[in-house]
Amino acid sequence: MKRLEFIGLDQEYYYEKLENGLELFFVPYKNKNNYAINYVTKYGSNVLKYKLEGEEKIAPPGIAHFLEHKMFESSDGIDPFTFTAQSGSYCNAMTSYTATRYVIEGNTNFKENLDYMIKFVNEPYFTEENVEKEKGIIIEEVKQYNDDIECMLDLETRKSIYKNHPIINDIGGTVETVSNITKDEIYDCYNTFYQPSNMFVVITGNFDVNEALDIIKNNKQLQERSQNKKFEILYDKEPDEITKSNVTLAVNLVKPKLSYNIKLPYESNKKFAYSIYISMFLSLVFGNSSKFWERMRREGKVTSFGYTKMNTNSHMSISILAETEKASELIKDIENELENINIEEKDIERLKKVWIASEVTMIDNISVTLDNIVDDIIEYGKLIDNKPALIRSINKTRLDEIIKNIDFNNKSVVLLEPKN
Amino acid sequence: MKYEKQDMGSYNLHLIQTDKFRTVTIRVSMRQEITEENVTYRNVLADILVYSNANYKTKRELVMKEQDLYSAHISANSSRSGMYNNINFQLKILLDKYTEEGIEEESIKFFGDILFNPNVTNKKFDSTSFEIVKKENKSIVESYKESSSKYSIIRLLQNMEDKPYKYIEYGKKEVLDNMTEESLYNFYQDFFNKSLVDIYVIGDIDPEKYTKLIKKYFLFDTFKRKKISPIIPVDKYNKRSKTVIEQEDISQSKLSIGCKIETLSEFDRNYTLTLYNLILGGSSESKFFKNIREKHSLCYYVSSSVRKLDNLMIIKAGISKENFKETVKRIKKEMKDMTLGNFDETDIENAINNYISALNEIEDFSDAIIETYVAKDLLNLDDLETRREKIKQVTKEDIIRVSKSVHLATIYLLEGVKE
Repeated sequence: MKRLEFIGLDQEYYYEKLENGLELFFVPYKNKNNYAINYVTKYGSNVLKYKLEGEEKIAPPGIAHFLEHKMFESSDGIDPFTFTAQSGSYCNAMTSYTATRYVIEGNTNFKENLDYMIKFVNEPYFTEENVEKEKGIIIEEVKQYNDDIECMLDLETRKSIYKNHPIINDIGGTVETVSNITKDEIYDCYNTFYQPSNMFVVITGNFDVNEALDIIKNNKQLQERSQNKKFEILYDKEPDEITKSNVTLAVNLVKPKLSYNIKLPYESNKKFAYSIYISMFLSLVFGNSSKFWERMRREGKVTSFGYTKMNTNSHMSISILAETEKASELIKDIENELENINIEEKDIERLKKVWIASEVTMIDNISVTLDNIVDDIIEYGKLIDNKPALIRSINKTRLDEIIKNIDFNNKSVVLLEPKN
Repeated sequence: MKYEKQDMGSYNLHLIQTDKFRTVTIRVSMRQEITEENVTYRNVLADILVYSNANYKTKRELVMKEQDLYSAHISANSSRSGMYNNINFQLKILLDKYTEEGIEEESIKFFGDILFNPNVTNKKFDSTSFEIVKKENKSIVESYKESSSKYSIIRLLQNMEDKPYKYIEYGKKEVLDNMTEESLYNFYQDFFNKSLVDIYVIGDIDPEKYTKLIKKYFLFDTFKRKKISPIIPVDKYNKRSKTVIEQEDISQSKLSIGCKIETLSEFDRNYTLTLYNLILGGSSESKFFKNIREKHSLCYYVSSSVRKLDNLMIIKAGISKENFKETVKRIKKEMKDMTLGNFDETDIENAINNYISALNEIEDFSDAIIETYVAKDLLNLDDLETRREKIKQVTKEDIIRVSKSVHLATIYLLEGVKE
């Protein structure tokens, strides 16, 4: 395995790509009891149409998440929860827009758990009966998110920004789409997206790198799955223009919630370097040391405030989020702020200190480190091991240039108001 | 890892020396006997002390100073532990080699300032800061209903015995309305003069150096510090349980069940009860998960958790309203099965392994290590090594006995009536 380093953070890591295309990223730590394993497929809810060896197929909304649930079935009655419980280890999975992750964390039985994980993810067992049974459980999960106000705001926000992109669907799908999912559709998705060449393994914490490598290479179920069929994810063309510039909805809440969103084209080679400039811009203008936030609190215009950004394969969106009883005033204030951006060098230097401090604190935590690695690989196609240096290289000239090229008029505002 | 406790008169200083982390964590833990009114006061005080202070009179200036000190962020959290109202202040700083000379001491000085140099004139907190913090707390008090799962638990507890666990953690509107810059300052003085204070420091530290630094900047001068038992006793158990149903415009119904636990021995409370809860509904191998979720597809989540200081067990489930009666029936059945011994050695072994695994994980996190010392104080919990041994001493008979001490008291359903 190739030995590399997280530069400036006193932490080594190892990398290898197996013959079948599976990539391995190992980050061994001294001084930790726990290990954390993620077995990840670069497949999430953002796939609605795809081609497998030239044949076009449909993936109904919610199917990636449904498939994730079904991976926990086993033909021999020993499911992953039962197996990992024997050593008191933790087992779970999660589906996002762009990935599905299988997780085991623990501090004993590393070899058994790793081998078992590779085995169960490569041994699908879907029957009509177990698919039917799961529908009740998943429908409850979908309903739970339906009631969540943050999820509501997020869904309406995505729908206001994007016209065609699969991201306008909830990850779990809807009660209707979940009810109609079939066993064959699930197998098609599995056979396409769970191929070794579309997956990777990240391990952090207390474990032996060579042992882990041997276990994965010698795993029977993985060895039997080396065929790599060609596939392509299909997207409808997404316009650069924002979709709905104003959305107001009356829902069951007490305090109005707002999102103010800007849509940007996203460089197709998805550079981390561009993304950190957008993050720096948001921190400076709307972050907790910004003049804007201070003023909004002082003037009583917000009781809660924040921002986020979201990427797809073709676009990026920035969202400013607020709990406010003075929505129209707040919107004017935000517009005004974006027309009068004035960034000072000393503020950039101060934020760089904060970000670098954060890199040091995060590397101390094996779960956070693992999450960051998975996010980087999914988003940027690789593990980024020189973040402190990249942060230090942020400069005002480039920042000003990037901001100048943003069309702040390509925007949407979503407001959720109380009923009555 | 080396531990040293020093009685400094006005506070206890706990020094935990370890080279496992790239940071040093300093936690100042303050607690006082709870009153309903003080729940609101403690929340506002925690917020205002980290909003501004005498040297950094706006939040922005305060944040910029923290950022300048390589992110020496002071967090303030208020909460309840049984009969105690707590405020915890915490600072995590990077080891010297990641920052610059002098940052460490300056960060600790800054922390001391936050606590002892508030933004106060003429015995009143600064009006601008006060208005902002008051308004934001008011918004939380007025809108906690927006989280239906949290709301369901609050309503459950309000329908149980008249105990501090009924006090809504977000505070009360009436108390906020009547609060002034002056009354808050009076509370600050009272809290800082009469609390039980523990300061924890964990990291790659020189204990003597840190003792000097804490003495220099943390100018506690407490008196009349009242130590009380944190555990809330249960006064009565009714044979029949009470059911309360309320309706809300949501799709999923939230079921919350409150169970009272009889007074247990220390061993049973700290060990047997934990295994009982893991087997019943505290893990993905539990009876609730396997039988109610997996076998009968009745819900996405159904779990139990124990609040030891309150002598309560809370069961939560998200269900469709049609399944209310069946879910309650199945929950009761699983609880009854525990009293009949309908669980096997594998269940106990899995629960023990789960427990030991959780203990092993504690040593990877500085915050979790601090919590073990807090728990020692509140629950007389043993050290990690002893806990690993004692948990294996729990027998099936012990678990059956404890399960008979758990009584289902109140069932609350927030019924979802959304079209």
